[in-house]
This record gives sequence, structure tokens and C-alpha cells, in this order.
Amino acid sequence: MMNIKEYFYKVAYIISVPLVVGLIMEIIVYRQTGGHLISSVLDIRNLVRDLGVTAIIAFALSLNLGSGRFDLSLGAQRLVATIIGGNIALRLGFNGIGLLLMAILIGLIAGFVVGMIFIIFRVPPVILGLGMAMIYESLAFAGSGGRGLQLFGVPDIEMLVDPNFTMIVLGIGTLFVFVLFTFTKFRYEMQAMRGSQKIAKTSGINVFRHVVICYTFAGGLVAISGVFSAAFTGALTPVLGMTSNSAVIAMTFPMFVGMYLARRSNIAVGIIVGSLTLKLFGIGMVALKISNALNTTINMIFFIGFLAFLANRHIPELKRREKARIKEARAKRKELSIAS
Amino acid sequence: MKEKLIQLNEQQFFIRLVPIVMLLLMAIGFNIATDGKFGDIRNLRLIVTQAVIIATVATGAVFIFGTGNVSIALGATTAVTAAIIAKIYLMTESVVIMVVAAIVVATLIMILTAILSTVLKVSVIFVSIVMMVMFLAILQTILGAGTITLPYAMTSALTNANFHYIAFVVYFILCAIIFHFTGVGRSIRFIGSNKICAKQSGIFLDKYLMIAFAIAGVGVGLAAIMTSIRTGTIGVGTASSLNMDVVLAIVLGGMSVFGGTRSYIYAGALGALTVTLLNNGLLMVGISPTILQLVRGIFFLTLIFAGQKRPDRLPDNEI
Amino acid sequence: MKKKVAILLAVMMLVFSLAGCGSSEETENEGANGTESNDTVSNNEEASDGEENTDKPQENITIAVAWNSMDATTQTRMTYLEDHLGPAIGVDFIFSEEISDTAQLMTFLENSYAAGADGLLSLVTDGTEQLVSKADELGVYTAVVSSTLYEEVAEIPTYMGITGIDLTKVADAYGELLDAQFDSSEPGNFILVSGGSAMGVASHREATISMLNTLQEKYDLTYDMDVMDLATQNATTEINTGNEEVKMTIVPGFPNMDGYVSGVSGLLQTGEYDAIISVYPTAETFSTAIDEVEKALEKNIKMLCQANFGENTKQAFNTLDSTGNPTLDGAVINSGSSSDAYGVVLLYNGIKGHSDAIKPEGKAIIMAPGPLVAASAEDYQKLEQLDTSDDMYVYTADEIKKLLKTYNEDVDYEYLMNIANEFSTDNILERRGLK
Repeated sequence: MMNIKEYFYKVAYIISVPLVVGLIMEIIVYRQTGGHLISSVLDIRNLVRDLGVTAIIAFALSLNLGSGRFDLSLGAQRLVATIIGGNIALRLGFNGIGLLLMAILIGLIAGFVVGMIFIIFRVPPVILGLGMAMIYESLAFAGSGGRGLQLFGVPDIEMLVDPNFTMIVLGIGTLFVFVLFTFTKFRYEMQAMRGSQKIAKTSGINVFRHVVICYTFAGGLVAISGVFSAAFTGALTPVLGMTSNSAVIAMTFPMFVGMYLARRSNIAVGIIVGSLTLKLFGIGMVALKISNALNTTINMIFFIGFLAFLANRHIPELKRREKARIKEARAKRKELSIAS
Repeated sequence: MKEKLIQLNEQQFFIRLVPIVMLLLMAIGFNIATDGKFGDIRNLRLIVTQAVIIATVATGAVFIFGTGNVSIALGATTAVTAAIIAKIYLMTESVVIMVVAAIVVATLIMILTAILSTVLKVSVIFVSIVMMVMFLAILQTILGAGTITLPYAMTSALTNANFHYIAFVVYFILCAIIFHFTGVGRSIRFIGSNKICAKQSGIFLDKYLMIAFAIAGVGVGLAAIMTSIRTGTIGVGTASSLNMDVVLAIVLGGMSVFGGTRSYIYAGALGALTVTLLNNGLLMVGISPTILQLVRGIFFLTLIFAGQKRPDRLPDNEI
Repeated sequence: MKKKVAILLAVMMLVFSLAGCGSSEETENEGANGTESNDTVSNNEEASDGEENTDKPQENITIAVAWNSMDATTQTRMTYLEDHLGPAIGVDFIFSEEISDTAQLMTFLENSYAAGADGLLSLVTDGTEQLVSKADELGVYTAVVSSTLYEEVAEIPTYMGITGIDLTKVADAYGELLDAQFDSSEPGNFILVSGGSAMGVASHREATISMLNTLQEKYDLTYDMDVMDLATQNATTEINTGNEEVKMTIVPGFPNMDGYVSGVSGLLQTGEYDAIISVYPTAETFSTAIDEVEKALEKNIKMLCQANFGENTKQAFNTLDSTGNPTLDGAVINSGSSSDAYGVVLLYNGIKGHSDAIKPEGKAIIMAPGPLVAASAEDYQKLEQLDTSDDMYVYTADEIKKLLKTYNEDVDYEYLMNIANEFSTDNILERRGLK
């Protein structure tokens, strides 16, 4: 058990990140436009909704991406789960909660299928993701006649746009991920897999089962975000030509930030804080009224910068230690030569 | 009997035959299904013309895939290069400058991508995804709300001079020599087979990755010229399908996605032919556009499965 | 060993299913995933019989259609052409996937030509000049659903003409819509949703320009920039209107972009805007955002946008928001199926050798349906059944037959122009007996 002081530092660290970013964006926005980042209750509602969607996708990504498997079919799984699951639920006359559960179910199945194909075929996850994305996009399109999921004007689903409901679902999702990553055998399996698959396998971990579980849960989680998006914009339309990925690729940045922050806390809190930070950044960009192309470019540059930082952050420390070692060795040599 | 079959199975020659056999079978199948319209000489020539652009990029991509890395940003790179050289041509009115600029610009962009991977140690797949998104944004900024149009006289002159074929053949021969007959190619395939062994044997991973990207860059530059003169306009959607088509081509051409010694330079060209033939044939047979992608996806996965040796472990070292 | 069996099975599956799929007359989803060899043989025979088309006096012609998007509206248009028009007038259709650039369009042209297409109807508005020139080399007739004729290639013999929405009437349509909702003496503040205008989507750009011109005329505004520049703004911008009482902000982009809907929500929350006018269907996209702002500010915000015939539009007009007003207050409706039908008419006449009759000076013609205006929910009620069933299409097969010289001797240029000029809400209601 850590003492109060450590705990306090960790909490302060975690909270400070989105706070600092939010403050910087607020200053920039105020200087440029005279407006504020968040100016009303409705803005907070929008923020909560967007945060819900972002964080859930980041959770889904962390399951596979965190272990080095970049699943490019996640966007297509989201489409299939939401569109097909949602349409089935509508036909059966379910209400908002029922629709959400049905979409999650189809999402779990979709993820499960991809996972099974992965362990049977054993092709690189990127390539598999591309192939499955093609298939799933096509299914989502053909299965709904091109209409996708139309939630506009459907009765009994108002709760899906209610930010309180979003928060509850996000809370449940966070709790689920937290428990999964902290208190279960799954956590050990995942960390073992990240270290070395071969060692994990020889020490008795069923890596195949673990991977299938990862894919399945990722599919289920991503379905939640699809339903919320569909509810807010009135519909989720199917797309072809591999463009379903863009919604998910945009969330890799929050996921990496979240995983980095998870070092001082845990994965669930880290990802939420990371998503919040980037959402505030995003709101600031929108408030500055810059073009979408410029926004994307800036985002990507920051993303690459962050990845570079992640890959190289230990280098200054290493260099410092090396210098200290060399110094010590030189001193020792001098000492020895004086002695002799 | 069984032993003989297993022996046959393992023989490299047999494995290499598979994509070719598949291509022929598909061609025959389509020919039957369309009552011979598919096999018409004009149609076959069309397929070759359409396949050339993909083949050029795919041949260059063989180098990248040969090291065991995956890049899905090649289409976006082509589009950005095309936009830049189109602007250069409109400024200078010189075809020679345009060709040279294309190769230089594309190679520079690819080397920049490679630097991010080697110097900054960010995984190649991430860099390619980020580049893909960023290049689309940059392309939109360059084009603004319209398109860039090249004068018809120039584009038709180049097309009639068979620029496509000449460029592709020269590039292919160059790549084949480098990939199969020089130390560079051997090193690249070594890296794909076993990265750790290659490193221990004294092969600088970074240097060869850069070389691979640079060679691919030349291919991208040539493809950019080909795209520009094929239609004369560069828009936001230019080369958008090239990203996926190149990966499809490489896989359908029989190249292992892990790279290594089972990479062959002709995989790119063969796969490009297969992809184009597939699109052409499926259209002729009248398959609904909504399930065309489904058919392609199923084909893709089946071929990946069948095309390589199933590893004992799940693939790792992705990041 | 398993792998080799897998490849063999896959290829056999493909070959048999393709042989089974047969010609393009077969509709989608039939046997795409493998059938028994017996079935495939009989399917093949049926398909070849279908191609002879025993009932019709003349042979079927083949028209390829190049789609620029693939969504629910496209599906409706495909059904209209393939299941309704095609069989009645003897046309087989080849449909493309979504085509986003000129290179893909050229590839599709070449592939369709190889598949035996006699004509190509293109919904892709870019690259018309190359398309038409290349098609002429191949001997394929072309018609484009676009609003720009491209004079340089108008004299090409196989280029029949354009059938996109009549641009001259779009501005009037928006004017009518605005007049119904806003009085000239009571100015309002508007958010103009310009969609893909800054990203090369020609139809959105033209519609935005029309909107800006209409507003300028209605409220006597002076813009400080050229209308074209205003329409192609690539970031959310407030425009200088020269009139303090009329505030306008242009919002480009699509819902899949980060912060798109939240951005509009933020603008609405200032309480300064009275209406959103949009160049593509956005009734559902902003409904939740508008609703929340209306509840918070207790003010009605109107939504005027472009729409298509179908369930979504009907629902948008009939659903009431929290202020008791319909979600969609008014719409400009472009009848896509009419543009397609006109295109088929031009191509059919050309292919059957009647080009001279319908192209008076040997130049490509403009046969453009006008936009339709539904200024209120009541107006749309009369139109809501259109394009939903075989006898409720805007143009039925029989009516189209009358526009083909092969079936109707009187067809010539004036005849077609009359039909296009007559196109209006009243005309459609009368023809469908809905008046």
C-alpha cells in the first residue's frame, strides 16, 4: 500500500494533464476569438457524449494495440455491430437499452470471428484486419440495403442521447476494463504476452484463448460507441472502400496517451484522462475555426511526435547513466594508476 | 503416394506456381462465364493497361514488404506526388523536369517516412497510417476546392509514346536485378526472414530499410506520372484505391506478408494483373457492386491462408 | 496440404459461382457464394435465354452507370433502373462501385466497353471531357448527370448531353423556400452548411453559390468576397454581409469529421441564428443538436435542406421537435431518378440511331429536370409516396417509352425540352393522380 503522499502526487499528476491542456487551449482560443472553450451546459453535454465515444474506442483499441496487434477491422466491426445489431433490435421493438445490448452482442460475435480467424490463419493482424474490414463493410452495407441504422424519429431511444446515460455506460465500461486489467488472470496473461509470446506459451498460458478474448471484447466495446454515434447524429451510414477505419484511427492517439498516463495510475483512468485531454485539445481546434485539413495535419504531427517521444524517452536517462559509468571508470583507472 | 504429395507440397517451385495457376484458372472461369467476351484481345490489353500503375507501385512495395514491414500509405504518397508534379509542370511546361521531379519528390517523401521509422524508432505501420491521413489532408490543401488539369496534348503524347510500358519495364528490370542479384536485395530478404539474425550478422537494419523505401519511392514517382497522364486531372480521390490495391496485389501475387526469402520481385506485377483481372471479370459477369468488395475480401483472405506456411506462434513483433 | 486444398476449393467455388451468375440481367445476391454444378448449368441456360429477350421486338442494349456514391438513395435509383425501366424498354444495366476519381471512371468505361456496353451514364461530374473523348474513340455513347456542359467537347457525336439539375432554377428554388419561411422585411441569421463545396463536390458548390446569390438578392446584401470564394471556404467562417441585421456563417464539412456537429451546436447556442440552410440532406444529423438548443433557449430554429424522395424525408417532415414544429421545415428536392431517366432517354435515342432528331445542331443538349420545392410539411405530404413503388415513380416506364423515338415517332428536340420544362410539382402530382 502506498502512503498518502504518493497517492496524492499520483492523483495530482493525473488531474494536471487535462487541466494544463485545457488551460492552454482556453488561453489560445480566448486570445484569438474572444470566446471560451466551454461556454454553456450544452457544451458540457457535447463534451461528455464525445468523451464517451472516444474513451470506449480507446478501451477497445488498448486490448489489441497495447499488445502490438493493430486491428484495422475495428471500424468495420463497429459498423456491423451497430447497423446489423441495431436493425435487429428495432425490428424486435427493443428500446434504447435493448438496442445497445443487441449491438454489443453482435459486436462480440464479430470480434470473436476475427479472433478465431486470427488464431487459425496466423497472418499478421494488419493484413487480417484489412481483409476482415473489406468483408464486414460489405456485410454492413448489403445487410441494411445501404441505409445503415436510422435512429431518427424512433421512439423509446431518447435515453441514448442523454449524457447522463452516456456517463453511466461509460462508467460501467470503465469499471469493466479496470477490473479486467487489474484483478483478473487476464491481466497477467496480457502482460506476459507483451513480454514474449514464446515464454508466455511455454509457461502454460493459453495464448490463443487470450487473443480471442481480446478480440471479442474489443468488438463488444466498439459497438457501444457506434450506437452512441448513431443516436446523436440520427443515423450510422455504412461505407465501403475501407473508409470505416478513419473513425478508429483517430482514436489511437488518445489510446497511446492513456497508456502512457496509466503508468502512474491504472489503464482505465489513464485512458479516460487521455481521451479528455485530447478532446479538450480538439474542442479548442474547432473553436479556432481552422480547416479540417489543417486540424488533421496538426493532430498527426503531434501524434508522431508523441510516438517518437514514447520510443525514445529512455535515451537521455541511458546516456546519463552511461556518462556516469564512464566517469566512474575513468576515476577508478586513475586511482589504480596512481596506486601502481 | 502421400509422401510424394507432401514432397511436392514442400518444393519451392510448386509453391511459386500457385498464384500463376490461380490467375489462369480465374481467367478461364471468367471467359466461360461471359461467353468469350472476357478473353477478347481488346479486353486483355485493357487489363494490362489498367494493371500497369498498380504493378509499378507494387514492384517497389515488394522491397518494403520484403523486410517484413507493411506500408499502406503508398496510394496517398502517389496522389500527393502527382499533385506536386502537376503544379510543377504547369509552371515549367517541361516534361523532362516533370519526370525528374516526380522521382525526386516521391523518393524524398518515402525517405522522410523511413527516417521517422529508423531515427525516431516509431513502428513502420504507425508511420504509414499517420502519413496516409496526413497526405490526404495535404492533398486537399494543395488542391483546394477544385482539381488540377494537365493539357491534353501533353498527356496524349506521353500515352502514345507508351510511357507507361517503357517506364514499368525499365523499373521492373532494375528492381529484379537489385532484389535477386545484388547484396542489397539479399540483405533485405534476410531482414525479413529473421531480423535478429540479420542484425547479428552485421546488417544495418536502418540503412536497408531506407534503401527499400527509396527504391519504392522511385516506383511511386513513376506511378504518379502514369496516373497524371492517364486522365489528365488530379483530384481529391486520385489514387485513393491504390493503398489497398497494392496490398492486395502483393498478397495475390504470392508474396509472403512476412517477407523474407520467399519474396519474389514478380509478385507485385503478377498480383496487379490478378487484381485488375478480378475487378474486370467481376464487373463483366454482373456481380452487384455491393457485394464486389465482399468477394474481394474473401478471395484475399483465402489466398493469404493458402499462400504461406502457417507459423507455429502467432505473429508478433508488429510494433 | 490443407492450404492447397483450400486454394483449389476457393477457385472452384469462384469458377462455378461465376458461371452460375451469368449475365448482368441477373439481380444481385444470386449464387454469389457457390452453387452445385447442376444448378449452374441450368442457370447458365436461363441467363443466355434472357439475353435473347424473346418478347421484345428489338435487341436489348446495355447501358453502364457510373455511380459517384453508394448509399441508400443510390440503391433506390439502381432498383428503379434495373427492375422498372430496364425490362420495360429493353435495357440491361451494368453498375459500378463508388467512383471517386477520374482514373476509376476511365477504368470503368473501358471495362464496360469490354463487357459490351453501348452507352455510359455517368454520375461522376469530374473528368467529363476525358470521359467523352475516350468514349467516342471506343464508340460508346455518353450522357452525364451534371450541370456543366463543357463546350469544348459538345460537338463530339457520341456525347448526348447532360441531365443534372437545372442550375438556373436552383436559385429560384431556394428563393421560394426562403420566402415561404422568412419575410424580406424581417431579416434573419443563417448558418449555411456547405457540405463538400470546399472539397471538390461540384453539386454542393453550385448549390451553395445559388444559396448565397438568393440571400443576396432577398436581403440586398453586399459580400466583400467573390461568391465562388465564399462558397469554397474550407473552415467555419462568418461572412461579411454588409447588412447588420443579417448574419451568416458558412460551415463546411461532413458529420464524420471531428467536432462537426458539436461545432454547429456551439454556433446555435449563441442564440443568434434562426435557421440552418444546407446543401445536402441534414435533417437527421442536426436534429438532436437543434432540439437541445431549442429547449435551452426556448426558440424555434428552422431547418431547410436538400432532400431526396423516401422514408427519411417523410419522417423528417412528420416528426415534431420540442417547440411543436416539424424537424424539417422545408426542402429542395432533387429527383435523382428523373435525372437518370432523362439520361437513359438520351442514350437510348442515340444508340438506336436517332441522334439527329434530338440533337438539333449536332451538339450535346441539356435536358435538365428542375428542383422541386416542398416548402412545408403539408406540401410534402402530397409528394411523400413518390419513388416508393412501381406505380409511384416520378417517371413510369410507359412515360419514358413516349420519349424514345423507337416507340414514339413524334420525339424530337422540342418534344424533350417541353417535357423537361414541364417538370414541376404540379406536373408530377397530376401524372401520378395524386392531386
